[in-house]
Amino acid sequence: MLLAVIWMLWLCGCSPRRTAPGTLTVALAVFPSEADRYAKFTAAFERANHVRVNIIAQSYTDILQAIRVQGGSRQGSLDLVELDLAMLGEARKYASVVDDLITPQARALFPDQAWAAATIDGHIYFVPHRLMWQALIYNRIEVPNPPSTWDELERFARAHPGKFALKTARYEGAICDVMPFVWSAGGSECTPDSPGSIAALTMLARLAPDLSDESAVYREMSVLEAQARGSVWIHFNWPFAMEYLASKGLSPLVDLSAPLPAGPDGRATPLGGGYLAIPVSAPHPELARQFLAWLLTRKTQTELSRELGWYGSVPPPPGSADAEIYSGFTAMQPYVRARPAVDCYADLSNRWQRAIRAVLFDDKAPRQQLNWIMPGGAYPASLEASQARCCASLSR
Amino acid sequence: MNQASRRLRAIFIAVPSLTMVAVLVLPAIGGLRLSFDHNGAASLHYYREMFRDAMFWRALINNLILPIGSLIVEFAVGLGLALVLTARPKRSRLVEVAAILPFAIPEIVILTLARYLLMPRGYVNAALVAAHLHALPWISPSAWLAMVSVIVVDAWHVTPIVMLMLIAGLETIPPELYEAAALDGAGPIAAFRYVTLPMLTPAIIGALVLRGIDALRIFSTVLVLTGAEGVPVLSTYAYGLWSDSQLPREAMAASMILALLVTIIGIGGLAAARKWAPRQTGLA
Amino acid sequence: MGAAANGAGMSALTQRRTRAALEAARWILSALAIIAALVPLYLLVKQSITPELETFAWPPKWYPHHLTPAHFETIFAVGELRGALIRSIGVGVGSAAAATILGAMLAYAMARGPSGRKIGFAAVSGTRLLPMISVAIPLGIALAMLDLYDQPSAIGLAIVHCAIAVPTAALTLYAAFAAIAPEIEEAAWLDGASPLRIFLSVDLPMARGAIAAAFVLCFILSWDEFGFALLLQQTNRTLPPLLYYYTTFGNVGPASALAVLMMIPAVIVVIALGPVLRGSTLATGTR
Repeated sequence: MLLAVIWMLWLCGCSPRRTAPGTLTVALAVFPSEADRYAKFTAAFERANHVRVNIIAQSYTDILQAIRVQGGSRQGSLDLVELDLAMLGEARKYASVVDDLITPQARALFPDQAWAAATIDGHIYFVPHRLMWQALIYNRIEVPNPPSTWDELERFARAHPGKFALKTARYEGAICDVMPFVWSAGGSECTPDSPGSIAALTMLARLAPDLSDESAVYREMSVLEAQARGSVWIHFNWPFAMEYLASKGLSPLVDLSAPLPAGPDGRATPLGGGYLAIPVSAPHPELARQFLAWLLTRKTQTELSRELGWYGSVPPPPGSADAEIYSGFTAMQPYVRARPAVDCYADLSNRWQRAIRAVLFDDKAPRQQLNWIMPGGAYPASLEASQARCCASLSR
Repeated sequence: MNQASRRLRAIFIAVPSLTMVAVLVLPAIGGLRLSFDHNGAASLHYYREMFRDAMFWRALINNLILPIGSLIVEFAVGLGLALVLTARPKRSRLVEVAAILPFAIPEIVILTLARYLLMPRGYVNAALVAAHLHALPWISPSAWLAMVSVIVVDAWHVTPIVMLMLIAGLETIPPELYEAAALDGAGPIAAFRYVTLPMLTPAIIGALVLRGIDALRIFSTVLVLTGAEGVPVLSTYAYGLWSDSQLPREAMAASMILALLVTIIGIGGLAAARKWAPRQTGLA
Repeated sequence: MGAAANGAGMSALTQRRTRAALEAARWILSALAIIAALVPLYLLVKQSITPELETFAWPPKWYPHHLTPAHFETIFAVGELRGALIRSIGVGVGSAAAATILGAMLAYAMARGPSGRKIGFAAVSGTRLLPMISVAIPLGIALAMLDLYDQPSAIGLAIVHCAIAVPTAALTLYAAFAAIAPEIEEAAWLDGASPLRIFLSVDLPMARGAIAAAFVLCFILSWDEFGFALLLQQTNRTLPPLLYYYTTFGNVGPASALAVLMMIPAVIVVIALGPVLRGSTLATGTR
């Protein structure tokens, strides 16, 4: 009897929430403390519209997986989802077009490069939520002068074995850590056999012996925890790293950010970031559109950067504590570069990941690994030609 | 009585069995079919891609080594604890609760805890350093030590089950046998060697088969402790393909290799158990 | 007992030494079991009530210097915990109830006929051979087509947990039904009761205790289950994947607090039900 009552309570407690008209369910790739702060940020929207905003913190891949599966069903549970820049091509099938929400004022909030990534076949499916790029995170007590060139980085790694870490688990983050090397040597994803790409992976092979052992499994948050515990002194990460370290009381006292080390061709850092999309399976698409319209105003954006420290479009005010903490990110802004928006990106990325790991952890020769990524002869001169070849050779 | 009750029994067998088949077996068969389906045609494409991946082979080998190691540890410790607990007529309640506790705690909690103990700057290394010893890379990827850590942590959680199964076996040994052995002047070691062990063998085989099948499916220990790539096994390899690489078909192919492995070893084991330990495994 | 003759030759002194050594081994093993169970738990509780800096420090602090309720506040403040808790309880109760009913049916059929026993054991051991991952990935696709994937009510996960708990319930109840003397059923039959009626009004009440134990075991199985929950409830999580998320996102304090909360019911149940559990884990042999 008691069981039946509990079961009924469960069904009543959970199921109607899916169809409750006044609740907007948002899945964001944030960590718990951020989810809490984000909830405070959305309170203004809740008050103005007499609705409830329910925030679910999850990782990007899990969110994509969720809407991919919900997309097949008549009605999902998520009204708005945050997706990583690298997933947008794949996620397009499950996202609704939001062209009419993007007024000229809204468009002016973000650089054209950010909108270009959200536009597929002439339609906008995604709204930039927080733009970010990587910088070097360092322990200022152990490393007073963080390395600013490849040579200095190599010398640092040699002098402090195990204290420099790359996040090179087999996932997209490995690309984000390695592409700065490739780009700042003149190579690119679509030209794995170019001299620049080879130079970059040769550099990695030189760093490999002194790299932190756990680089083979590190991801954003695990390498960050190692940094917080002091077992890693230098690694590359996104702005939320500073947010995390500050919330633990470690930044700016212990950890700070600096520009990524410059290679023979200068500096480079990957553009990343969260984009919001309304899944085709959203139970409350109208409410989700209202939320996006509210988000795409200068007032809300300023609030967002102030409340959550997301300085993608607005840099922190000079002289503030955040200006010191985020200085590496501010300095890297001119060197931001997007990953190629090719249809075969997931496949290309998987191959790069395997090649990178073979060079770093299995002592394989860079040139042989890079040739394996995209088999077949010298690389074409133009980027378009090489992209076309990239997808053609991968689809075989 | 017979006609009606036979019908009832048939229904009682059919409903639960069909539920299990529908929820567990049919999806697995569907996965098997999808893993051979490349753009609508039957093909070994996903298997070929997988065999080309060095990590698959590492996962396959680890998937054989780890369960064996884990079984050795859990049976050695489980037997020891079982003997300790049954040595006296009145059991120590404290030891009993302590011995069962690791099984009572949810697996994910045990693993979270083990991670905090074993990480480079975790409690175990802190204790080593405090004792003027060297810190060790307990869970560093691809080191042999990480395999040992995974084995010990995996065994930590399940040793109580082994212990309980062996206690049940020990309790079936008639005390008269020990009395007779004592009258013959057998010491405790001789009594163990010539009375306990032979009488316990069926229980050990039964437990070994049941635990062995379970140990082959090792997933969360590896995932939480070392990440999907650190000490890959087939489950975490498949999970990585599905989740990070977004390659569901290859993930299904990898999981089918695991299913094949478990089925072969499992059927062999169950046959052995049927022969030597029918009662302990309920296969009488 | 040919070896016993050898033993007779052993001097009394050696025997006493062996006994002393065994006694020492017994103490050491007991002490190890207690340490292995209690020290890690102590550290987990400590982490849950001290600031994260005490854990991040090197060497980490072994006992609390400052106490803080902040981690428990965090996990309660973030709305997800409440949802995950309700979901875990709901999935546990729902799947355990259904699995106990199905398990009772299977166990009854197994206890009342040799062919039933054969088919029953085949079904029970057959499904145990399937690895989680081989089922979960295609099952996710199937549940999605049925609109049951990643639902806030976690109904899809409850169905899966029910299916994996049926063997546990059946093996727990099998002995109880087998122990009921056939004469009792025959008496009811002579009174004109139908077989179903006999099952409901004679067998089920007599197996009360075992039914409760089966229910609790199935509940704990679901409460602890991580793999299917990780793959099938990606955004509407139950507690185990939520804890995994806290851990992998480097949130030591909240993770420890959640872990402490999660183990309370399981530990209470196991200590309270110790004797019953002993019998039934034997039967299943799985975690």
